[in-house]
Amino acid sequence: MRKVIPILVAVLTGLTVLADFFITHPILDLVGRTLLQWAMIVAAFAFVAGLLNIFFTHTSRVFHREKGWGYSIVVILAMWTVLVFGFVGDGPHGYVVSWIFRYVQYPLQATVMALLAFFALSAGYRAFRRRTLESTIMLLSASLVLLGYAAIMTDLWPVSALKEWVLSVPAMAGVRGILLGVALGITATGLRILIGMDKPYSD
Amino acid sequence: MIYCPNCGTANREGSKYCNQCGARLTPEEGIICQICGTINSPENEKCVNCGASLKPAPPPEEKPAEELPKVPVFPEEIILTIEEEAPDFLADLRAKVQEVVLPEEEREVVPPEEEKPIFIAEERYEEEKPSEEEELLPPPAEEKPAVAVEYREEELPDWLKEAEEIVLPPEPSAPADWLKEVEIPWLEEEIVEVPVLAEIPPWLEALRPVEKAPEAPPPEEEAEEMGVLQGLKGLLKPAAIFGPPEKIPLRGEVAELSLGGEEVQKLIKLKPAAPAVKIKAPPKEIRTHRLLHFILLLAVLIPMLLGWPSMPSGSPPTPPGVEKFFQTVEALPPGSFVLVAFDYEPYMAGEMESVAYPVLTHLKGRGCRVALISLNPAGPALAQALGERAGFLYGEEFVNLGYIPGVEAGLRALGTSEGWLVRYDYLQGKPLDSFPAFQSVKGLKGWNLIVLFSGQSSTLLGWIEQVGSMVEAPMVAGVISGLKPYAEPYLGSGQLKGLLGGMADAAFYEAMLGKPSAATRAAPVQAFALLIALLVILVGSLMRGESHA
Repeated sequence: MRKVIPILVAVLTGLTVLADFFITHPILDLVGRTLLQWAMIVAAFAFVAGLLNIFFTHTSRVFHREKGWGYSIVVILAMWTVLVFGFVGDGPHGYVVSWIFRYVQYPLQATVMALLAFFALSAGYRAFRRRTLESTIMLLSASLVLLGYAAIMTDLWPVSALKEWVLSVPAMAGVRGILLGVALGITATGLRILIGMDKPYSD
Repeated sequence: MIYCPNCGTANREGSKYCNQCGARLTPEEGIICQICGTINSPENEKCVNCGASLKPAPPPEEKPAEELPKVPVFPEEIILTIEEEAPDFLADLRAKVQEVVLPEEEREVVPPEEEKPIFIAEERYEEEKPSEEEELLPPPAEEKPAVAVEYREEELPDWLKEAEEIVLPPEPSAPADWLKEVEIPWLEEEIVEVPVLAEIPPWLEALRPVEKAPEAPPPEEEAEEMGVLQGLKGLLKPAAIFGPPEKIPLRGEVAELSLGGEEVQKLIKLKPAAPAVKIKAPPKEIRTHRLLHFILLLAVLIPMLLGWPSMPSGSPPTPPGVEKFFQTVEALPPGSFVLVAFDYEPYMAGEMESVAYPVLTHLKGRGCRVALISLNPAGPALAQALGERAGFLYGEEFVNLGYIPGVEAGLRALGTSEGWLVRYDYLQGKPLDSFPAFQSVKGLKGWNLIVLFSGQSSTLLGWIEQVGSMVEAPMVAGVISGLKPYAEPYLGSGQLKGLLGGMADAAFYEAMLGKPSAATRAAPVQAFALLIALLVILVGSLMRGESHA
C-alpha cells in the first residue's frame, strides 16, 4: 500500500492536468488550476528546505572544524543577516536587503561571470587545434562566428553576413534537432511517469 | 625479509634502512621476536610484525624447598637412556608403520636435511631462553642421584628393564670428541656420569660440526646499471614474489646481511651529493595562459579607457530579429499593456540590462503600461531597479508582480488563472486590484505584448511552449548572445515576433531608437576583445599545429 498510494496520486494528478490541457470543462478546469497552484506552493517551499539544508550543513562544518569552516561562518552570517532584515524591515525590497543585493550579490556574481571570459580564452587556445578534419572544421566555424560577432561592429560586414548564414542554417539545424529530441524525450518520460513505470517522486 | 620495527614494512634481506619510512632495520640492540623473527627495538614490548609479546618469561619465583610442589620427575639417567634408545625404537616403529600404512614405493626414510629447520629453530630458542629440557628438568641438586637409583631399582616397569638390557652395549665407549665441544652443560655432566653410551641419536648427530668445503667461486652476477647502486654486484637479491618462506635470519646472520647495506652506505657517501633542487619557474603552459589573460585584459581595458572603437559610422545591416522587434514595439498604440518577464540571474545582468534597458525606454516612449514578472527569485529586484531607471512611475506606468515559482507549472497556472495569479504587488504589498491603471488586465488576458528577457533556455522555452498557445498577444524576446541560437528557430516559426541576441543586437536597437546608451558603448569594446581572442586562438593553433599538449 505504501508503494501504491504514491503511484495513484502521481498518475491521477498527471492525467487530470493533462486532461485539463485538452478538455474544457468547468470542474476539470477548477481541479487542474488548483493542482497547478499546489505545485507552485510546493516549488516555493523547496526554497525553505534548501535554506534549512544549507544552514545545517554549514553549521555542522563549523562545529566539526572541517576544511574551510571559516567560509561557512560567513555563509551563515550572511544568510541570517538577509533573513532578519527581510523579515524585520520592509521585506525583500527594503533598503538594507536592496543594498546588499545591489552592491554585494550583484557585483560578486558579475565578477565570477567575467572570469569566464579568461577561462574561455585559455580553453579555446588549448582546444582549437588542427588534429583531425572534424577539429579543423570546428576551428573554422568558431573562427567565422567569432569574426562575425567582431566584424558586425566594424566595416567588415560581408563577414558578418557569412556569420549570419552559419548561425541561421547549420547551427539552427542542429538546434532544431536538439529541441525535437528534447521534446520527444519529455513526451516519453511523461508517459512513463503517467503509467507508473518511472517513479521519480519515490526514488 | 626484514620487517621494519617502525612501520612493519617488509624490506629485502640486507637492507639497513626501511624503504618506506627510512627507519633503521638493524638496531644495535634489538629484540628478536620468538614467533616470527622480526627484529624489534629494545623498547618495544610487542612485536611490530606479529604482535607477540617480546618480554621474556618471568623467572619462577624462588620458594623454599619445602613449599615446592612435588612433581614426579624422571631422573636424568633414565631420560638420557631413553633418548639414546629412542632412535632405534622409533626406527623400528617407523618401519612397522610404513609396512602397514604406506605402499612400498613410498616408503622412505626422512632425510636429515628435512629436520634441519627444526634444529635451527631449537638453536635460536636456546640463544634466547632456556631450552625446553632445561625448563623441564630440575636444577642439579644433590638429592637427585639417590632418587634416581631408587626409582630405577624399585619403580622401573618390566618393559623398560627389557629395553635397558637390550640397548646397553656390553662395553662402554668413550664419548666422541666433537660431542665434548658442544656446549650443553647438563648433557656433558650426564655423559660423564653415565658409563655407557648408546648410539648417537639423529638429533645429536645433527649437532656434529661439518667441515667447511672449499667454497665455490660465486657466480658472476650482473652489476647494477643505474642509480646509487651502480657498479655494485651481488648485494641485492631479487625478492621472490611467490615461494616458500625464507629462513628467518638470526641476530648474527642479520649482522652479516647488513654488511651489504653498510657497503651501500659507504658507496653513497663516496658519490657526489646531488645538486639542491631549485624552485622551478611556472611551467611554460601556465606562463602562456597568464600571457593570454593579460592580453585579454588589455583588449578590454584600453578600448574602455580610450573610447575606441565606436559604432561604425556607415549603415551596417541591422539583424532581422532586431528589426522585427523594433517594429513590433513601434506598432503598439499608446497606453498598451505590456507584460515583461525578467528571467535571468544577477551574474547575467551586465549583458541583459544592456538588452532590456533600450526596450523599456522604447516602451516608455510609446506610453505603454508595463507589468514586470519573473520566474527567478532574484528577478523582481532586477526588474524593479531597471523599471525605475527607465523612468516609469510605479503604480501608474508599471507594477511589479514579483516572483512566480514552478517555471512550467507557474506559467501554466498564470495562463489558466481567471484573476491575478499573485494578489499583491512586490514593492508595496498592495492588492493588485487597487492599481487603477491595471484594472483591465488579469492573468494573461488583456495584454498587447509579452516581452521576454531570458538568460536560460528553460525559462525562454517555458514561456514559448506553455504560454504562447494560450495568449493572442505577440511575444518578443531579448536573450544573452549564447542563447540566441536556441531562440532563432522560434523566430523563424513566427512564435517570436522579434529577437535581440546579446549586446551587439542591443546596440543596433539603440541605434534604431536614436538613444545610444550602455550597449552602444560596450558592444564595440566587446567586439574588439572578441577579435583579439580570435587572433590569439588562431595564432595558437598555427604555432602548435597538430602537436598535443
